[in-house]
Amino acid sequence: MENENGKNYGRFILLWLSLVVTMCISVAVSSMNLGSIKNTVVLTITAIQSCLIIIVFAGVRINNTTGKVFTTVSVVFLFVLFILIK
Amino acid sequence: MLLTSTEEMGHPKTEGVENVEVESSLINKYKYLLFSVIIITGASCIILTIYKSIYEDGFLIGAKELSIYTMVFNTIVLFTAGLTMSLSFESFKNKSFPLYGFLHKITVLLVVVFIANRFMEYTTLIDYGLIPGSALMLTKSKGESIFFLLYYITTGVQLLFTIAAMFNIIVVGKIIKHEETTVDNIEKVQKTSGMFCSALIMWLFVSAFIYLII
Repeated sequence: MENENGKNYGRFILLWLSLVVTMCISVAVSSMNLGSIKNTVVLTITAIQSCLIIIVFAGVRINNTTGKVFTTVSVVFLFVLFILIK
Repeated sequence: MLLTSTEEMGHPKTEGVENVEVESSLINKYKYLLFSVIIITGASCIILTIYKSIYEDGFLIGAKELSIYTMVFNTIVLFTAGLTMSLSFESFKNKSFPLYGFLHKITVLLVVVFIANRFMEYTTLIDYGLIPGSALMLTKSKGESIFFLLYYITTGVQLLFTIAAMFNIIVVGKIIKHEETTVDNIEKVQKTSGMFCSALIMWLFVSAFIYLII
């Protein structure tokens, strides 16, 4: 039981570390002169971070109709944003 | 945690249940709130992107007035608050109540730090005269004015949402004082966690579009 708890807590700490690292990558990329790729990379990293937060921190599993609707709407927004930032 | 509620699965809500595994319907219970978050965040980012493409130079100059270090600090504070929030939820499920109480307080403290930092940033900008309608702003280009207007609106909405999430965390902490791992209590803590994560995601997108995608 203790190991199981430790594993659960470790998962959250690992996610926190990866979020901080990806944020640093985001900031580093945004300061580089990479043209429109820069914005795509930053947006992709933000989208990945959000997914990880939803799945690990909020503990959400998308397996019902409402969840699927939300996922679709979010993906549509992201798709529009990806087109617009280019 | 799955998105099928315990009641839907045929288990009645009982108090003092041992090793309760909540299959809580976070999305179903908070669907209007979460939907609002998605719409507001998505719409804000789209508006920011459209105006950025029209007034590219103004947005570039406006963004240079903002401190990226403040954004990094705020983001790390919110990430840490998200971590402590999730850890408090886990410890509550595991019936480690002293740890839950400690992590709960740390979460509130971190959110207060974030809010204070946001107000400090606003105060600095307002003192400098970077507020829509000010004499200084009238001398600046239309692009810069629109950038700051959108900056105040988007970050303001996010800040209000964070404040609401903080009050929710405090209220739930007060309600759950009997230290019982009941299905109801676990769902309350989980919903609080979900609301706070929504505020965190909102911040991620808003900050990316204000500070990074310029």
